[in-house]
Amino acid sequence: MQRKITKNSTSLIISILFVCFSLASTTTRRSYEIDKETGETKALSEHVENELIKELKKGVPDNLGRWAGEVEETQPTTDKEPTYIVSTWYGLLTPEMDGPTYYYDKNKKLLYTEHYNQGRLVWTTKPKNAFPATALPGRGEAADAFTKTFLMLDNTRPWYVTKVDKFGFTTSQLNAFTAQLEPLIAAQHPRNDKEFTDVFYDALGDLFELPEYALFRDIYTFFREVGGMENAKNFEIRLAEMGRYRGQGDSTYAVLTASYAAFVQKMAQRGVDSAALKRFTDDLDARMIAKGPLDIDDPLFPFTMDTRMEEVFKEMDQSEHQAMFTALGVILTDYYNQGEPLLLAARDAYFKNVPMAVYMLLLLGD
Amino acid sequence: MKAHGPLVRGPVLILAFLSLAMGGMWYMALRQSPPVFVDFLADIGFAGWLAAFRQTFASFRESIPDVLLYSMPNALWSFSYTLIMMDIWWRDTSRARFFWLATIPVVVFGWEGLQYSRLAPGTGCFEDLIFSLLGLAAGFFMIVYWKRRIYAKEDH
Repeated sequence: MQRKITKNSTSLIISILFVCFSLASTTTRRSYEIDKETGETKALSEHVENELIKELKKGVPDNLGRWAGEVEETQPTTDKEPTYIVSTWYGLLTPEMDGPTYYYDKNKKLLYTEHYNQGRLVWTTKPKNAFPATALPGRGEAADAFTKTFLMLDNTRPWYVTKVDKFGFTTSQLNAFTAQLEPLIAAQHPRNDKEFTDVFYDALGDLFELPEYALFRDIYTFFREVGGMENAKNFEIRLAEMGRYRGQGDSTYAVLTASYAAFVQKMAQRGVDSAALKRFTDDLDARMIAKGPLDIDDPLFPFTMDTRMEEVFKEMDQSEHQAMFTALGVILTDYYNQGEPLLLAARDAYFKNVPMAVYMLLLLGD
Repeated sequence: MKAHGPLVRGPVLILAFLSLAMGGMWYMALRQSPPVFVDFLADIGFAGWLAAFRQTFASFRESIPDVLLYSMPNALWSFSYTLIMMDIWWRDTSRARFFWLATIPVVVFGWEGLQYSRLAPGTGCFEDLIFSLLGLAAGFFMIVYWKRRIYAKEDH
């Protein structure tokens, strides 16, 4: 009898343990919820590349799910500062940082402020030697200690340099990386933006093969994905689908033709005629509807709809909508490239000269 | 009267534990999106250690196919669970045996099923089910083979 009890209780404990293991091994990549602490209608969005490279964003989304206004960004707590960043986002047209960005240490003490205008730095109160400048050897030496790409990055989108450093790839390593990247690009002599983008990703792919850049590859992928997803919130099919739910038309195709005629034309130029577009959006609508109703009054409706759309896109038969999926691939890649800081900095550095004022500021800095 | 053997035999326990641990290590070393328990380890101060551990296996991660990368832990864990449960309830004559042995497919496939039907978080997929089945089958056949040998010796 005693043995039976032992067997049963041991089996129960083991079963519970395995159920716990199953629960603990689930992966949540993004989540959106209402901020329960303050009671405000804020969205929490978690982006995770791995246990060290992750970011929790909390802010107010507009009615299309784009960040609009202050967004609090928290990275994993490490000794590196700043831990906590509050940036201001402008959700319309191109979702970009627009307004002040405050950098705090882990005790929420303000360290410095950067002010952005349409994604580019306008001014900063960052003191000399503030994080992460101390990590950059050569500051104050001749300007040629820096690559053009690094200078462009640090002077237009310094948030990227700061966050990359915080995730463990130091500023000097980033500078060294761009020093290897630039000649690889230059050797191919790209003549326009399109050629440059192709050459840039080829060069990046080569460098990411090197073990010393394994960490930066993860960090780079993380920021590209987070930025791309933010930009893709303006994807016309997404907006039209949302419009359909909100009663702006009977179908996504009807909303597209009524409100996003330029997109319909653009698709036609990419080889997707109206009939193919309609067939695709009708299939999309049917699959979305089949998954049950969505509450359009829920403040998180855009995010719920996104999750569902993502599922439906995965389920759709690509061969049935081949031209459409090919065009979608190009469009989504464009979204991912649009706000990619390293690509933009490298391109500006290649096609434009780094302003003399930047060199002068660096020389006068010390 | 025969003395009772241990509830779970030493070699079975070791093999089950190793299999379970390997599943956990697989997640820590190779999976890009960390599961909840890896996040937890990072939060309680092991972030640096995890990063170094992951770095060690970075090149290996590149060389293994996705299907192994994502589904291997399922096989290892279902193998482990099957081993322990089978070892406890093998040759037991009580009706409880049916219940506990039935938990093997329920626990192994139920979780995947819940994920697949979106009732639980995660990404349930066909490959995970196949690997779970392989783990279960390996555990089952290993115990059957092992026990037959052990009981054959004891009966002899």
